[in-house]
Order: sequence, then structure tokens, then C-alpha cells
Amino acid sequence: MTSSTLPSQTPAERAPAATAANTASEAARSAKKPKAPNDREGFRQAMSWLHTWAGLILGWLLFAIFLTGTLSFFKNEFNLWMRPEMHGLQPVDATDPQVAQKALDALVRRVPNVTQWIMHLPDDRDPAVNILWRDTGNGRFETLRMNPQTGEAIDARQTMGGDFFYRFHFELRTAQKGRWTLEGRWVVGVATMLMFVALISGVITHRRIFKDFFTFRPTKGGQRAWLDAHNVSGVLVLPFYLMITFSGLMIFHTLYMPAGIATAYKGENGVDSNAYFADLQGEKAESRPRRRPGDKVEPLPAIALPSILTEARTRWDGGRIGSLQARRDAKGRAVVEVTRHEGDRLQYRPPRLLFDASIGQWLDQADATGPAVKTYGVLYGLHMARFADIGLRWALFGFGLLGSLMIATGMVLWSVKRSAKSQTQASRTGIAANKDNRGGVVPTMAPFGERLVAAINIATLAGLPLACGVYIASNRLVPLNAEGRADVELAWFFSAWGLALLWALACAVVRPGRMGWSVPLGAAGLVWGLLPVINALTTHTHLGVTLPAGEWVWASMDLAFLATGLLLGWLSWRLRPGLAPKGKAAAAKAPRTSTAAALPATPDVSVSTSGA
Amino acid sequence: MSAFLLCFAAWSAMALGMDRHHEDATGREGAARRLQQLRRAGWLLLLLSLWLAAHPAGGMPASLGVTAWAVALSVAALAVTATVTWQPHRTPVLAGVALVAGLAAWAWGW
Repeated sequence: MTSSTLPSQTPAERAPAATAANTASEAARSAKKPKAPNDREGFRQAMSWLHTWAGLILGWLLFAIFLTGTLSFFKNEFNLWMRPEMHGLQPVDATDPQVAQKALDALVRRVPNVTQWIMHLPDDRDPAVNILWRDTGNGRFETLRMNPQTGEAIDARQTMGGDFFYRFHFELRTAQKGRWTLEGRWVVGVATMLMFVALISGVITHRRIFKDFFTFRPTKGGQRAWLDAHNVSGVLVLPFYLMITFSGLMIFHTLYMPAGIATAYKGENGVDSNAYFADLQGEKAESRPRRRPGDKVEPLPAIALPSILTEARTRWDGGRIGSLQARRDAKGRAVVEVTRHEGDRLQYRPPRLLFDASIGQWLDQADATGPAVKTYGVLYGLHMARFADIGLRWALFGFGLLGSLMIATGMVLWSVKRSAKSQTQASRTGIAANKDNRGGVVPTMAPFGERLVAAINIATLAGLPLACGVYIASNRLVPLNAEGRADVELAWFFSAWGLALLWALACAVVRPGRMGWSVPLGAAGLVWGLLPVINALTTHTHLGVTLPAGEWVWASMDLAFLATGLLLGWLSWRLRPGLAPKGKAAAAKAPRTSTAAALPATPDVSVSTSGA
Repeated sequence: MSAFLLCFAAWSAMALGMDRHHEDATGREGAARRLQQLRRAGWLLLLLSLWLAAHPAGGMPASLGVTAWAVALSVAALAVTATVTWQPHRTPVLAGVALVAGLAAWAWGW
């Protein structure tokens, strides 16, 4: 995000255009002196150092978190597309109480001893009734998807769908049944904290934040274009980054900062975190059941939902109902909890109404109303963006992509600057160094650290899009009856990513050059671009069906995949080996949007970062 | 939608109130006084768009209106950056159109 995160150059080496980019030479010198000549500049340089290294250490992980989190904005749509068996479900009248009753009857026929279930009613993003159920006191929930018209279960393929991106982005989930999820959340938490540090130190380091507010100069090429792209994508969308980073940290505050709870919620038997969670959700602590694994719970009685749903809707003045839950409370009484739709307000989670399950009488309501828990709920709601309609959702998705690009440009800048520095013997400026490099001058091999960073840059920035495309393709290609099918899909994802890493390491060590970027990007473009074709060959939910029928949720997924494939393919083409780099001429033909405009300078990087 | 258009007009005015972009857009250096007026107009427009967003039409809660405004703020800033980068001469015209369209969109409750 800043111009001065970059390593030292002597004043003579400065590119005239990059005046703002060279505080680092002072940084290097002042570091040797006992005291900085100017405290304010000294502070700025300290922040610059912090920005560089906080960004680099977990930058690759952050890129992966940011990109998969961005895809999670369309989690429901991925869930739908990756289960083509759900195609053809007709939208239902959301106020029809028979939808819920039919699904419940079907569930009870299937699992007579159910002890707890959570039912998500269909809405405009998800046409099916989704039920989580268990017949144990404290075991895992199983999932069922029902046809809202008939209540019959849909026999959908085994897949994690969009939930994989979602789970990966906050706990680095590597299997359908989670493992190491707490450890994963800790790692993500540390990365998020470093992101927060990098954002704030980046703002402090950026000397011309107001003067360069709208400034983007792709025609200058090289470092200047990369830096502008990093700054513009960083500064203009800063409110979103700060919000998403801070709220991401806060969502798991109970995990990261348990000391407050331990101090304020002392019970008779040690820390009473149950009471804390009840307060956080606006519930009564005594009604929350506390069960040990293996505890037996009596099955639920027969429940009549229509009267409960009608009363809930009246109490909410016509508001939408999102989900229902039936369980036994701490006293063993069967209760139904009706939750309002998450899209009805900003604060998460939505208000709930509690009914007696056997007689359908209203008992209580639950909602977080205190100032602190409301603040928490709003942060949570902002992060989840369940309130967002389609336009807002695409805008947030775009911000997420820009954030990924900001991280990517930052990583690339680290390499560009260092390789420019190591080429200084050959040339007077960093930009010219790249030119000489392209011109075929045989340069010295870059240090091992730089080549390693360059390799991991390739593996992450090009490898992750490849892995995501392969994962989606595997959803159509893995046989439907494969054992542990959902995990097989994940194996495809991680294998593709691993292969990209091997490729990148081999390129950095054995054969430095543009091939390193071009090949994985080209493969990714091919996979994404072929997704609509694979879909057409393996399912009946392809563009030939969905476009004429006007089923835009299905069709726009295919179209978006195709567009992604074309973009990645174009990138790969721009970076192909043997293309005479055009520098400014190439940059002049910059793409229209500021996001994509970070790319013209990429050829310079592919050469210089791979230590050619 | 109205929030985006009004923010676009506001950011454009602010960009035009900066030396470099003013020169790119109009081809001549702006007087300091005029630049300052443009920047002030930009700030006022931003405040106006925020106020309008906090009073959304229909049954939408104000919190969601302000959230949508915050998103529109960044989208509009990106759009203005794209405009001053690739179409600097059209910036003033586009800003004017956005202002009128934004007020119209607000009047129709978009």
C-alpha cells in the first residue's frame, strides 16, 4: 500500500518517477545511526519496515484466505451449482407453512428418534429446505436437502460445495469432517492480525495518501505501475479491508482472547463460559443444555409447525422467517426456536422466538440487545454480508478480489524491488535493470531467499486459482459413487496446488524465466474456461439448458467461470516465453479497470523475480 | 444506486480540485481558489449522499442504507480513478451527469 516499503537504494539509483518510493535508503542509513535525524521520518520508516515484513511473512496465506473468503460471498450459489441434482426446484411461497411441515414429516419418517434438528427454509438464494439433524445428545449433525414442494429428500452428490472455500478461509479445513480446525483458526487469526498490522502501518507509511488518492499511472510501467496499483487498490477500498479484517478477528474473540471471559464469568466450577455465550446471543443461560458426549436425550415429540409459524410471522410484523430449530432445553422440555431471516437486518445473529413444541404456545424471545453484544453482532453481520442483495454482493465480491490483488501486488513488489537492487551494477535505475534483463544480458543469479519468494509467489498467486478451478472440475468428473467422494474432491484441490508449488520451485531453481508464471496461469485458464464444457458433458444444468430457461443463478456461474478462464488465459498469454516485452507500449494498452491494470507490468516481474 | 452516482460526482469534484487531475481534465492549471471550491463541493456532496443514504426509501433499515453507502463510496472512488486515468477529459461531464442522475435516482427511490 505504500511507496516506502521498499528496500534501500542509493539516491543515484532512483528512478525519477519513483520519488515517493525511496524513503528506504534513508531507512537503511538511519538504521546504522544511533538516532534518526527526524523523529517523524524515523517513525515512518519503522512502519515501512513493519509493513514489508508483516506483509511478507504470511502474505501468501493471506492471499489464500482473502481469495477463498471472497468466493464464500457466493457460497450458496456454489453449493447449488455443485449439486446439479438440485436443479429444477420450483420457488415456493415463503409464507406457506406447509413447506416446513412436509419437510419435517419426511425427516421424522426417515429418523423417528431425532433429538434435535435445524431447518433452513428456502429463499431466493437457496431453493431447497436444508435440514441438519442428529439423533444423539451431543454428536455430529447430518445434513439433508429436501424438495420444498414434496418434502422428499434430494439425493445430491457428496460434496463440500462452496462450504469448502468458506471453511478453508477461516480454519484451513482440509477434510469434510474437520480436523485440526482449532489450530487452523489460530493460524488464520495470526495471519489476520498481521494483515491488520500491515494495513495500519501501510497507511502510516504512505506519504502521499491524499495527493495520490486517485493516481494510477500504468503507462509508466515497471515498479511505478505496480506501486500505483498496490496503493490505489489499497487506499480506495481501505474501509472494506479494515472492516473485514477487524470483524474477522472479532468473530473468534472467544478463542483468541479468553482472558476477559475467565475474569468476568467465574462460576462455582471454574469459568462459566456457557453464561458468556448465552449473554452474547441474548439468551438465558439456564435454558442452555450442557451435555457431555454420550449423554442420552429423549427423542422429540410430534410437532405441529403451521400455528407456530403463523404466530411468529405476526409477532415480527410480516418479517421473513429464516430457520427453525427443535431441541430439548436444559429441563428436558421440547422447544421450537424460530429464527428471523438473516437478510432482514445488519446485526448477526437475527432475533429468535421460542415456542413450546408440544402445545405450540409462545414462551420467550431471544435477541442480543446490550451495546457491546450489538456491536459484536453488527461486526459479525458486516463480515458475513448475509444482508447483501445481488448488486451489493457483487460489489463486495469485487472488493475481495481487489484485496487479493492488493496482497498479490505487494508480494510481487517485494520481489521487483529486490531484484532491481541486485541488478544495479548493470543499470542505473530499477526499471532500466529490468529492461537490460529482458534485452538478454546474462545477469547474476539472485540470492536464494529472493528466488524462494519468487517461487512461492508463483505457487500461490497462480497456483491457487488453478487449484480452485480443479476443485470445481473434480465436482463434475469424480464418479458419483466414489468412496469418500467429498474428500476426493479436496484431494484434487490440494494435489493441483502441490503440483503448482513443485513446478514453481523447479522453475526458480532449475530454469528461471517467464515459463514459471505462464504455465500454471495457462493451465488455470484452461481449467476454468473448460468448466462450462465439462458441465455440458456431464450434467443437464449446462448453459444450453439454463440460458433459454432464464435460470440466471445457474447460467451466471458458468458464465463467470468462462470469464475467469479467459482472464487467466489472457494473463498467461501476456506472460508467454518469447514474447518481446513492450514495456511502456504494452502498458499503454492497459485494461480498462484499475484491478486488471496491475497486470501489464507483470512480464517485468516474471523475468526479474525468477532471478533470470 | 443514487448513493453510487452521488459519490461518483463528489469524488470527481475532489479529483478536479487536485492540481494534477485538474490539469489532465481541463488542460490548464486551475486557480487555487477554484480548486478549493471544487474540493469543498466534493465534501458537501459526500455529506449529502450520506444523509440521503441514512434516510432510505421503503422499509429498509437505516443501518443497511449506510452500509450500502459505504460500499458505494469505494466503488465510486475506483470508478473516478479509472476515469481520471483513462478518460480525463470526460471527467467533468460524467460528474455532472452522475449528479443529475443521482438526484433523479434518489427521487425515484432507487
